Amino acid sequence: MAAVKVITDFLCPGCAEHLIPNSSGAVICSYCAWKGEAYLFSPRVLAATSADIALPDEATCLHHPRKKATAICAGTGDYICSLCAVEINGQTFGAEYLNSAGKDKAGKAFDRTLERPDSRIVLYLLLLFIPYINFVVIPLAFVWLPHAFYLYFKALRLRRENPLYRRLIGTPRVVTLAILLFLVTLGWVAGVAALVIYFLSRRR
Amino acid sequence: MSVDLQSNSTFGRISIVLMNDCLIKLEHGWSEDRTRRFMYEGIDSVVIWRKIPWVRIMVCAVLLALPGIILLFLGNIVATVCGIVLGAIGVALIVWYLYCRSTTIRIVRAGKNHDLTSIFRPGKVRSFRDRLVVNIRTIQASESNTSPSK
Repeated sequence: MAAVKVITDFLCPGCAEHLIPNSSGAVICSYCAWKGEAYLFSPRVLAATSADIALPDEATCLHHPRKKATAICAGTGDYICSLCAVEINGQTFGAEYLNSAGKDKAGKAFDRTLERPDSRIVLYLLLLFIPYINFVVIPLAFVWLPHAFYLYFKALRLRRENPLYRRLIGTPRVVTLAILLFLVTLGWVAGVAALVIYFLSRRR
Repeated sequence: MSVDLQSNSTFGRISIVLMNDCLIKLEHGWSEDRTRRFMYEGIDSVVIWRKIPWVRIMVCAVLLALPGIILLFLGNIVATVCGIVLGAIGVALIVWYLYCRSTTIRIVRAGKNHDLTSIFRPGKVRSFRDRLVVNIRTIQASESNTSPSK
């Protein structure tokens, strides 16, 4: 069996007292009258691998003087042991550095984003309805419409590859975007054609 | 299947998706979403509570309901119609906020609290909570059975 930690209580969000929920999960704090639900679980405990003890001739970790140094922090240049080493984008940093000067680096490293080409298509379509901006956007449709179609096919590819994206973007949204893009293209082509015919007829 | 829980507040639109092995919180942006994963195996506890969003209600009352009521008393037909529309929107929003209330889902992981706060429909929160609890219990039970002994 794996090492699990059985959680038996939780802290009241109102007064930080230790509370125990009943079998249905409902809790009322007797100290601050906070009311809510709580569900306790048994999370797996992560086992930390211990670093090797340094021999007399070996370099030691700056933060753990008895542990053998296994890497050099890319931020500070200090010797660090396997306990302190954190690998981010192929570079090794010390935990101390990431907790102080390298906080931004650590934040960005663990920050994950999901690309949303469909939102950008919606933005393009919204610009058509914003007064004054649409005077610029409509004549320049030959620039952004191909990009919108490119984004649309990118969204279709993401839907195939990413289950999370597939959950976010349902079939109705995909179909609606296709219809809107088709209508805008049709409208723009019809508008340009009408202008060309108008000017040709005036020339005659 | 779409997202499990979605908040369409003007500021800070978020969605919560329950995957097979983790809960994903998405903070929506214009061109990309910021995602945060909470693996089921590491979740200590889930605490859920609701409270009345007084600030939102006050804003709705001051900006919509009260001006609507004032317009009703001007005696002008245009002002009366505008007052009815404005007041109805304000009252509807206030009733909606009172019905839904502001829900906070606190996920405790390794002793740290991660709060997901927004206005969700109570029915959606209930079904989300049921699925979340079942998923976490299933994953943690399977993890404790399959992992090698320490």
